[in-house]
Amino acid sequence: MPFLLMMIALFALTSCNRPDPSAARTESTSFRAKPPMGTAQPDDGQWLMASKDYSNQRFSGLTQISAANVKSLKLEWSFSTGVLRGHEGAPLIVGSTMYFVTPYPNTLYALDLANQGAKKWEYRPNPAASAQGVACCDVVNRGAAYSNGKIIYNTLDNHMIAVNAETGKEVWKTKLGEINLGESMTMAPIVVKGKVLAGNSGGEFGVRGWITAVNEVDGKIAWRAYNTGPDQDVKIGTAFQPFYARDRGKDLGVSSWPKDHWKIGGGSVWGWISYDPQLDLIYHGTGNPGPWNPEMRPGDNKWTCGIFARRPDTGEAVWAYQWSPHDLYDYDGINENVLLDLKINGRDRKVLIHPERNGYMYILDRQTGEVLSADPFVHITTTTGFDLKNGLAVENPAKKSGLGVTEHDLCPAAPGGKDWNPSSWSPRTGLLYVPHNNLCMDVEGTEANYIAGTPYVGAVVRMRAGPGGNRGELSAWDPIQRKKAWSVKESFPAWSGALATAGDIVFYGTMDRWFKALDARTGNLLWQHRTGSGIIGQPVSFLGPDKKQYIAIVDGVGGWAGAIVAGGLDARDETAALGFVGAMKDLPSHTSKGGTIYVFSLP
Amino acid sequence: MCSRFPKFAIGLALFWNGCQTGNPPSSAMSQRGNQLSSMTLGAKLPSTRNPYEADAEALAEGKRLYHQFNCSGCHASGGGAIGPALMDEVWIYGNQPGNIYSTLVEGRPNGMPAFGGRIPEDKIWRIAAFVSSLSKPEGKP
Repeated sequence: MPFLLMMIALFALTSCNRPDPSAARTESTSFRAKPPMGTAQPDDGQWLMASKDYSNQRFSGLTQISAANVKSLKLEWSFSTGVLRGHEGAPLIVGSTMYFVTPYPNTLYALDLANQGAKKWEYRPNPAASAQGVACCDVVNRGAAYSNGKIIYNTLDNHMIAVNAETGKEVWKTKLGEINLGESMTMAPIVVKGKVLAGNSGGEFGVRGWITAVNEVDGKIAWRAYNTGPDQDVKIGTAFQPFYARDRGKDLGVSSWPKDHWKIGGGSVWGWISYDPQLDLIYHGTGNPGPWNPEMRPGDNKWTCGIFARRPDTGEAVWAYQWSPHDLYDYDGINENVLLDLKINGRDRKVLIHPERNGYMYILDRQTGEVLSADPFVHITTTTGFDLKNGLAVENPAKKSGLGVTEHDLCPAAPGGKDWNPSSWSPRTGLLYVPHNNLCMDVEGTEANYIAGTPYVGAVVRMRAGPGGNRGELSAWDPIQRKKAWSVKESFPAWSGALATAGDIVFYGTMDRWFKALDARTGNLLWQHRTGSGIIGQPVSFLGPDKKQYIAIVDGVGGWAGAIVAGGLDARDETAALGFVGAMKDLPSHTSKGGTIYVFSLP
Repeated sequence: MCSRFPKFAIGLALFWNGCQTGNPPSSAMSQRGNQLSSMTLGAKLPSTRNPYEADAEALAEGKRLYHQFNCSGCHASGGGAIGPALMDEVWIYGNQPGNIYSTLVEGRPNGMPAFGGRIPEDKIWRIAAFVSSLSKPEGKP
């Protein structure tokens, strides 16, 4: 063997023998569900999945940047992604490399943290251009996952791809869905016990929602569970024990729909997946039923607008619950389920907390699916209260839109009290930091025609600001007191993720181009930085190779809320972007398109 | 039928009717329709006039069809959503009647589906006329 080759082989061996940064750590330290006043475990300084850890807490245990010194935070370097659509993704940090997936065309960048973000490589999957036509709410991508030397993510045209994290070479690529059926993929996958989990988008296109597990090793599909249709397809079997009686019975995913409608009924999986290793359960939400016009689909439309607890090995459903049976308002149930262990009424409970689009902050027993509490965190008119006995919000009969009827002042609007953008939990303050909306809408139901691969909505929507005129808010929610500890109003919907750190700071971005740091205990603004474009991304924190703490955010306005800018829509039509333009006419005077990664540190 | 109706369009309309009376399988029909559109119309189309451009009744029908065939799902009431705005003065693929017709029949690569074969030719011209009528200079409601 020539000397050079031998050296390369030796080098390869050495790098393979390095302790894998993900495997051990994800199991032991990154599952951080704990009593709220507990002490954070040491943070390894990496960010290996979009939601930081299996519990979806998004808490950084790093302490160098604190409430006391954050005012000195300075831009260290930046990097243009070369794409000008909505950037909803979280960067990953693995060892001394940052990875980022752009919106369509879903380029994956590897940047060298030891060298001011120098480009190591880029990987271009070349997704089908036609996929852009089935992306309801901008051509976004919400991030990737790292596992065993691979970066794994989904493309808009329904491929799951594993890329060698060192070389940027494709390891495997698996097609999971069909553009021609209206399917696309936008969510960040997670890797659990050797399986990569992700689902489809397309609730506005009459898709049939699913979650799929792909073998991390070879890219082969291990299982797929649908969220509508017969029990066999939904993976409801003998182990299925939903808490509420209405969810028990055979093939409810068929009988809760008009004949065959479940085949195009939605229930897609495009948000977040969390995992409890002790209970060995994954938790994922399900999206809205289609079409939006509810008159076309009488019944509970199971299992849309709900949540499943499933076994990661098989997909088998253990329990399910619908936040909004027979959804009337496009309240997708896909928001994050943050896993916490809380003392409630003197009892230690394993719970999940879920800021739901319907405007209630839910706390569920994550072993059983029982709703322990549900409290409004925004102005609500679509329901009149919450009935804990049957675990459902009480519908407001005065606010049911129908065919040819325009119903006014429906709050929250279709994007909900809060949309996809993830909250962050601090075990130090015991507060959940929730970026959210304050929006209401008028809706007229129209006839929807199913034409495969085209929208299937049947509603004309006009949105506007809710009471107070601010369209967004960042709220610090106390799950024990069941109310806001404090909140900060924002002019535009708070469409970015939040990041809480052990320095007792909360980071988030605004659509009018501010990246902000708040005092986690008071909400006081401690620092802000003007970015090039509005922010709808997910902030992260990490330790660089120099052992300094860094904060990163990606700007690039867009998404559903920012479609008026990213898609160049016309403000004269209030119904544009499924009605969101009505509430966002002034956004173009605050920001233009962009797409830049920013990395900050203390001098 | 309007006297300005282009000859090839009359031919197409007849072809369409012929297909309908003959009851061929719909997929074959759509394939032939697509072929005909792209082969015989391609180059000449942009300069073509739309027979319905000043026909109020046809525009109203075009608007109804625009919603029925889910154009509104992507383009809203002209302000755009998944697809671009149609009421502004930006025409990515051209604003001539033939351009709009081609866009509807053949689709465009960045997500516009091909409706050739799914919608009769005559109705496509009506939709095209309505789409054309949406475009207004900024400042006008």
